[in-house]
Amino acid sequence: MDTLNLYGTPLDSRLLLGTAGYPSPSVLAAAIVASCTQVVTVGLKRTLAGDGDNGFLQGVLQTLRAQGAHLLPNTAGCRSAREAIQLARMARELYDTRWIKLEVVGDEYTLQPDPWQLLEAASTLIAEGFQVFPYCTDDLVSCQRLLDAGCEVLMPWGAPIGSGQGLLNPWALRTLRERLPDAVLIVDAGIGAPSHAAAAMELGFDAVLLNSAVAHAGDPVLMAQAFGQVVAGARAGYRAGIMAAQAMAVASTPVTGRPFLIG
Amino acid sequence: MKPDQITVHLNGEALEVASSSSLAALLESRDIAADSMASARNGEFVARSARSACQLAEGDEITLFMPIVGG
Repeated sequence: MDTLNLYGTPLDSRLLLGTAGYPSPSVLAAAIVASCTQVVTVGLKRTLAGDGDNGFLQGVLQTLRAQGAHLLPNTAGCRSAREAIQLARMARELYDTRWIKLEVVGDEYTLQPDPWQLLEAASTLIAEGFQVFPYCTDDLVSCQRLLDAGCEVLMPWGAPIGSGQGLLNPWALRTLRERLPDAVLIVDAGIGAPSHAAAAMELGFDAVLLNSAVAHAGDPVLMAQAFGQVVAGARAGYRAGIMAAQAMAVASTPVTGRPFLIG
Repeated sequence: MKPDQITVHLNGEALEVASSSSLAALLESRDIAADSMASARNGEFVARSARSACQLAEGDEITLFMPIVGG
């Protein structure tokens, strides 16, 4: 059995799905079911008068219970370790989970993670018993430091959040896989098409996390199903062992020379 | 403002409350279910279990957070 293990929790699905930006709660719920995901991300926001999310989250929670899936709350919007630590503590109380998708953004234009603030927040939260899923860049050394701090899972970006550009730096991602063979690696952010998810899985990544690619699809439920199938298929392909590419043609049909020595 | 009252801010809204008020009492007075929100005072998380012992002070900024969808 090819099981994904996230901090001791065994999972069959290798697709983690975000819950934001769907056209309706019912579409979101149907997308979760169609994707076969077992982990969905959620958030927290500062309450303002008259706030609400039109029942989206309530719909998610009901679907999740039926599907036996897990919640992964995030610290979206945080710009410092201090903010992220406070928000993580709130998430643990509200969602009753030690899992936290740790996001600390360092640049407003690219929403690139801040590696220093991220490491500081991760170290503090791990000491408090959190199981941290850091949203990080593909920089090898900063990833190593996160592992040193006690992260068992790393979630490097494929491309900037919501950009749908796919894997901008496959070399860096391949290097992470080769250099960090024991870490659970999940490509988070930048996935736009099922082929992008397949490419990540074929590099040997353990899972992918995506949101906009499904939520903003013309048919989110069908796209959720497509991602679920592609991720499973590409994972099987990786495990099967992908042939080495050749620079030139190599005939596959075992003929003996030319069929006729004429012409 | 009465001498036994203080001003605090709840999600940016100024409120006058008794100077002996706790965070738990403030939320109760606003009909906010204890387990529906997470709370912070001046940017520091206050756990549900610590709200009763959390004595409010003049100028405190109380912020509440709710669960939402997210990526």
